[in-house]
Amino acid sequence: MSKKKEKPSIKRARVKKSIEEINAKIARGEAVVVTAEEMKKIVEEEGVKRAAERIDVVTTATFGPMCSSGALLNVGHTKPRIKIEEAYLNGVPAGTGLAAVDLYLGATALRPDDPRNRQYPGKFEYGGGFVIEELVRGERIVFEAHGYGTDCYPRRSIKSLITIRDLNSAVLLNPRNAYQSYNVAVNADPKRTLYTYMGILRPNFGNANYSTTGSLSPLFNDPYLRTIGIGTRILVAGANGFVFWWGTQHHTVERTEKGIPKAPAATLATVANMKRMDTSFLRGVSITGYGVSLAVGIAIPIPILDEETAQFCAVKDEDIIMPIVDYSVDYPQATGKVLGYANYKALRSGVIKINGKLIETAPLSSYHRAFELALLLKERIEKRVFFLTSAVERLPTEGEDVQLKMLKET
Amino acid sequence: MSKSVRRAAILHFPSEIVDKPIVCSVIKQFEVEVNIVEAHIEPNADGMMMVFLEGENKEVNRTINFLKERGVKIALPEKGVYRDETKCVHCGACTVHCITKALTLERESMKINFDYDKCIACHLCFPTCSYGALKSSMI
Repeated sequence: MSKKKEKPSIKRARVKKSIEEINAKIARGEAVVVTAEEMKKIVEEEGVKRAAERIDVVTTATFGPMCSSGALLNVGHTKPRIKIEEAYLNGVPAGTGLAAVDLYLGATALRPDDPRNRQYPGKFEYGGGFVIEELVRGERIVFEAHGYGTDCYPRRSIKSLITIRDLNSAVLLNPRNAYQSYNVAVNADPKRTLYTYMGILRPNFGNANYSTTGSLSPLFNDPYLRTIGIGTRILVAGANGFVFWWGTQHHTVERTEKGIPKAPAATLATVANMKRMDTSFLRGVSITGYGVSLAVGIAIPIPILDEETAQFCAVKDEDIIMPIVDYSVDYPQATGKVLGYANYKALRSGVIKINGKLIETAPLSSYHRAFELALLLKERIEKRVFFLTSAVERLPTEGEDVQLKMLKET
Repeated sequence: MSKSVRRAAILHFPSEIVDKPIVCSVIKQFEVEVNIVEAHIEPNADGMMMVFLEGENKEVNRTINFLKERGVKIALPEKGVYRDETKCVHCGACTVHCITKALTLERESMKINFDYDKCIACHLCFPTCSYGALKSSMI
């Protein structure tokens, strides 16, 4: 860095770093790693150019319920063998339809005898998300499976107590995580309280719930997906993992001048080894009246390759605007109507204004827990146990892959 | 002259005394206003009642002693609701439903602060917590 002062000509040159160079700096213990929160201040105080030169990696994170998550488990073969057609973990059904002992346990799966919403609003005390958390904790799980019997797989059923250590593989394979932006949920109904996946919404705009970590959130810091792509190494619930595809419902929407999408847009499909996870960042959740889910913590490093990446990581809470959606009519009926926009700074302050009325806000994602995960990633990079990857392929930003379609009745 | 106070209390009636007119006796014998916020009383089962006792400090204390003598177990609200620190992830979903602002989001640390002095044990926060962190210590 001292070189710059000697040669003013370099000062004008644009910053250009490669991921290989950054990794070499990490290996030497010289990489400068900051959280996205720190990066905002650095860019403000030192300017984009100097920040781009000085900072190598920005760590971003989010933590909140992410329903499209689940565990891919290989429970191992039995003697004699069984081809599993029906499987239960602590009574929660896991998806079969794969090879003999491969299962997929979805985060929102419920026990067949769960009362659901029969006594409204249902409590949803147990389900897939909790089994996943308990597996990661190393707790014993009652496993039960049935098959129809074949010459090669004669066994018809098995009952066993298992822990994660007994499994050949336990992989968290999440089809959709880390939504870039999300709806701010309100309830326009004059009388009825709503129990939604966005929490409890009191009538007549009683409260507004939102779910994002704003300027700390990964995809707000890389809004055009310039660095986050297929093969990007990330932290999932504290374990090293990867982005393996674009998430389901990944699509493009209108953006603000600063490139921030004005509605839910990009998503990531993520994968990581459950055997290395930490339950501080992975929790089963019971959402009153809605169901069970899994809260997942995801941290993503953003390499500062040039001034643009630095500029994007300087995104501020006030730059982020999110659509306000009525969950009494517009969301359930899929009308597509947006009541207005709220910026994250106002949301985080605790009060927003809708049609002149002040409405209290509540977050569903934990900024605090996400920030801890961003710090953990920073620490891992500084300790030289986490290196960055170049995306094998970029995530789609145009064309057929980013169209969001609705299912039509015929 | 002692000063006037308003205290929230959670009354637990063991099944043996649930059929006794205890609250009625309180109203007749003491110079306190009893405001019943919530009650779950059924024959032959443990009952609970959440009340505000308003009156002179001395009189409210005498009332509490009377209730204790009659076998009512009294919990102060801070002991009626507690937060399981191992389960709370500090999201904030509870804060907007807390009518007394006992649960608040500290904007700097983005952590949830639970001011037990402000809690009236209304239990409105229970269904808002997806992590099962807010619990009743009443049995």
